[in-house]
Amino acid sequence: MGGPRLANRVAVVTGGGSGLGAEMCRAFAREGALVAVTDLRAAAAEAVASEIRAAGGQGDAWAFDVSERAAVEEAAGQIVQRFGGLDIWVNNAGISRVVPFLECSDEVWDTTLRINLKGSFIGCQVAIRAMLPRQRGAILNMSSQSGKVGNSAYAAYCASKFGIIGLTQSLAIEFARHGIRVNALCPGVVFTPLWEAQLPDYARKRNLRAEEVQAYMEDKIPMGRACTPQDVAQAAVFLVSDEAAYITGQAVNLAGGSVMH
Amino acid sequence: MQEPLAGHIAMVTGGATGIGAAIVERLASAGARVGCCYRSSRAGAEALAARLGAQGCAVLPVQVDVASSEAVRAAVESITAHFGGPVSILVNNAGDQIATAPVDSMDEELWDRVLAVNLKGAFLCAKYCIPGMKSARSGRIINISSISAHSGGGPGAAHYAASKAGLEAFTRALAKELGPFNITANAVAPGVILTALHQRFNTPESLEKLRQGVPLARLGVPDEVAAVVAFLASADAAYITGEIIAVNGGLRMD
Repeated sequence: MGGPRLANRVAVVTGGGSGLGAEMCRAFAREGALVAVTDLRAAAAEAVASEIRAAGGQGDAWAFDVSERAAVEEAAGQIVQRFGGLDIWVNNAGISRVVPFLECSDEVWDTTLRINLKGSFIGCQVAIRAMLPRQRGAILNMSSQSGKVGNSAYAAYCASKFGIIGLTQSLAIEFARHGIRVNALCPGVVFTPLWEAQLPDYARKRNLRAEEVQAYMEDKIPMGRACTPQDVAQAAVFLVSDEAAYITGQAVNLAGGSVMH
Repeated sequence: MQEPLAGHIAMVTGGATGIGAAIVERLASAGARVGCCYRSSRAGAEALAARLGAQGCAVLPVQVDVASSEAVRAAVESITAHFGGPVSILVNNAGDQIATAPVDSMDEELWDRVLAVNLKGAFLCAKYCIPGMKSARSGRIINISSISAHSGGGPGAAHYAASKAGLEAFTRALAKELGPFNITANAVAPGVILTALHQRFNTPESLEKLRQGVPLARLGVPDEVAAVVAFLASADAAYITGEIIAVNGGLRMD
């Protein structure tokens, strides 16, 4: 055993400037990948890329909005030029809003679906076009526990994450013959910046005080703790590595036993 | 890089051949000491232990019929005694289809034996390994299911499909029951993997037909299942429990 598991693979992670995306970038770099840290916020992406380089890894930053096709295509072209190819693409950028359904505006619905689902659609299309010449590649789409089960006050997010699994399965079938694997990861609750931002809305939904939310949620998880960014990054490394060479079209739960289908 | 499973003691049933042998090799190469359990393939188990032993791995061949409570208890004890500690990774891989038959002409003995090996065997091995895992507040149970649990199985294989579906429900029940003890329980569901079992129940023509239905356009190999088992046994998979991981080249996605 041993040796880096992603040596010299070129990996793109969207939403790489914070939370799960940043942790995946760090883990990929530790496993030898050349990492394109991409984020809407240029400074956040650059901070993670510098951190990777300071640790002796290879990383560069790009800033784009995943729902802007021209910007994604331009960055992908630069990444392929810069690193000499594309092996791994993680559609991780996403937004989340806890909103009672009857208060869910068209704006919340459209933005959630545009960033989470259309952004993944564009990312997959751009990535696959870049992977086809070499007839190999691994795409990982970040779905969620909310891609497997619905939840109150979460309709737009759940719809986007269910949609990502449909996208994943369809592309897995369509591009398997081209050596491109497409899988999804479905984390349970992770206490990231994204989660912190919606904590007040979640507390309101459950009639809890903000400081009670974490214990309330962890109590319902068989393993008794929330998912961590490290849990997600380790599973991501596995799914995009050759260890998972025969796995495609799967949506793997990381929910500590909360979801089992 | 440190060996990811150093310090672990594993028990792999059906470890002498096919997918089981690949699992034994993966776990042992990752640093675990492995009890390689076999029922009848003594020569295979001993050859595997000798080959891996020559590479510096610790593999102990253990004869056991997993359908026998007494035999399983003794096997767990001998692995524990030999390696000086409790089993921390249990892989319930032993399984057989024995013969195929339509349900209305299936012998009751055939049904009972397949369920006894594939399902009761997993229960017995878990039963005798869990106390040591609970004491250590850490453990991994990995059950080898099959695409049959989802597809309903091949012709005349209702017993096999039912046993594997039962094994998956058992996996989920274990995950809920053992989560508070930091013990995870998962299953791996292989699709069509090139093993003696498939060669016994298929012709080259039927295997070619199966291959054509696989999106990745090839059959799997045992090591591709073993790699997933090794991942689930590793610290990297600490938060994955109650999960059924399909290793089938895209053949099924549910």
